Amino acid sequence: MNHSPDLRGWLPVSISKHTAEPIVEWCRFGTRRFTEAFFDHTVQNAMREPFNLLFRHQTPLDALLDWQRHSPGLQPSGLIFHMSRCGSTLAAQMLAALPGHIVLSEPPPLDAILRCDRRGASDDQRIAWLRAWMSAISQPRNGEQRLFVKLDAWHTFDLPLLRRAFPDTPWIFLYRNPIEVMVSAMKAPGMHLVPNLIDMNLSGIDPAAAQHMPQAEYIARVLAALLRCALRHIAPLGGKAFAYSHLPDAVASDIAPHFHLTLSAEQIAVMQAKTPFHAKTPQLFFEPDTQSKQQEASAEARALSAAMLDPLYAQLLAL
Amino acid sequence: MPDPPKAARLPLSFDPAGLQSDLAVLGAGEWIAHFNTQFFTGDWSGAALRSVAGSNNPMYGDASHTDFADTDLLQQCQHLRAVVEAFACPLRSVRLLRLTAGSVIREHRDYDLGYELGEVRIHVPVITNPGVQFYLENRRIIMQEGECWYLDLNLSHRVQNLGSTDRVHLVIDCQINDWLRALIANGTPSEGSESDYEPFRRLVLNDTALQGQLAGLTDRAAFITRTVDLGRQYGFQFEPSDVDGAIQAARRAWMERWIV
Repeated sequence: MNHSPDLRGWLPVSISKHTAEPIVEWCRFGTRRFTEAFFDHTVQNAMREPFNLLFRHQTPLDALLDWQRHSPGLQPSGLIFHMSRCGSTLAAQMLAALPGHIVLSEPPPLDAILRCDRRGASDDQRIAWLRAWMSAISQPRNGEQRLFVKLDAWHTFDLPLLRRAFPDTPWIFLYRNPIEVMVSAMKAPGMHLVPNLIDMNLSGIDPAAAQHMPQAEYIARVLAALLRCALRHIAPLGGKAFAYSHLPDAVASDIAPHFHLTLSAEQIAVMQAKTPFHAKTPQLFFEPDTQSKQQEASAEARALSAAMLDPLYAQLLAL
Repeated sequence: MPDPPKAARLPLSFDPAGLQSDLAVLGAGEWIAHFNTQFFTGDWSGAALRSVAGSNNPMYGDASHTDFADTDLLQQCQHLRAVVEAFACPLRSVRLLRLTAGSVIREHRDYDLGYELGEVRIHVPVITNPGVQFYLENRRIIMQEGECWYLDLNLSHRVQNLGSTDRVHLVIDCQINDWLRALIANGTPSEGSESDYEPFRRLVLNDTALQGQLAGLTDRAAFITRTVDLGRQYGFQFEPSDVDGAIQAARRAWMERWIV
């Protein structure tokens, strides 16, 4: 590349993992907000426009650092870690309901930067890129003032690094009765619950053994690792854990204050208007499914949960 | 062995006047429209010179067929037959393909073709005109009458006939053998050239004001029209099908961006 392009109005929506060097793809986003349930859904919608398919800037990662100096964006006001299938998308959607908020839900570019450790990038290097990416993606385009990020479930394993990158940002960990998460995950496992599908910093499970493990056991082991990791870091790294059973009310009553948000009654009403809908597929109504999930649980799942997950769940509840 | 080229003019050439004289024996009934109407607009049709035995359909015959036979039509076309006989390799289908004036074949790939797959397609232009634009991976390849071309059509390609006369190519599907490998190796590789579209795209990518005139248009047809008009204003000559092909290629590239 000969010279840096003019990136005003452009957002770094994608970072390649499989190229020799990571390539940042910048897309001209206009005033489009990240309101879909997931970051990538918004990006895919943007890509329906011919302009966005045809016109993208491509830069190396270090262009993020230059752009951060040129045009600093927002500092994150809250990070949401979670065990998956525990209401995290609902919480993110409620925060995104307010126009002054930018909410990034499981953004793949952030994962791509974290996994630059596999390319030998140092912690300091990754932290610099994370901050710069966050600054670039959160350029206010509609007068937004606050930025929240819901991470991928497996980024719980990257908590110490993310805390170092954003030491002033409050963070929470969302969790749910593990048997209910297991029932949901066994029906449609997230990427982190399929052996060796994605690269993550999961320790304690041999990849070769994982390949032959019964599905329920693998899911239980990964969920246990997530919960142990969260429990280990919550006190020393200043996080707060919230149970699914307290959602959605806890978003306004507890999570918002933890994120230093002062909400008006009108704002709370706007956020709560999101809650009758199923967060991932807004055309479906959200209904409490604790009872049905409990009834669906197989004996195998119950036994695994009792042995590996319930004690960790009890510890979280006791915090 | 070096990789085969994407396109190469082969060291064989034929007298265009002779080839064109053969076309006179073809009646209107010999031309059969291409079955895949999503691939083109206008008239894209073929006449079978060698086809799956018992079928005179020039468009018929996928990789599973091995029983190809010359048609009666080939026997009546002595110059075309001489071209076919010049190929010392097993032949599959042989046909004349006609793209009438104003017709467009949209960007696509022929997945059953490939040097590595053992089946390649040779083009011999019989009639063409300067308004024919053939693009292989967005590079324009200009093929003249009577020339003989190897093209890797497993790659994205498209054709637009912007001239006022029809374009007819003799298209020979060959099974690769040592003779054909040597012929391709001795050919003149062609990198092709860009249309005006790509230089214009780069201009827009670096010009915020021009971006503002195109961004936010959600309707594809309106976007294409506006892009062509804006290009003309700035002295870039390209066609709606150039933009359309680029959108298709970009969409595919975006969908496949995670595939290693």
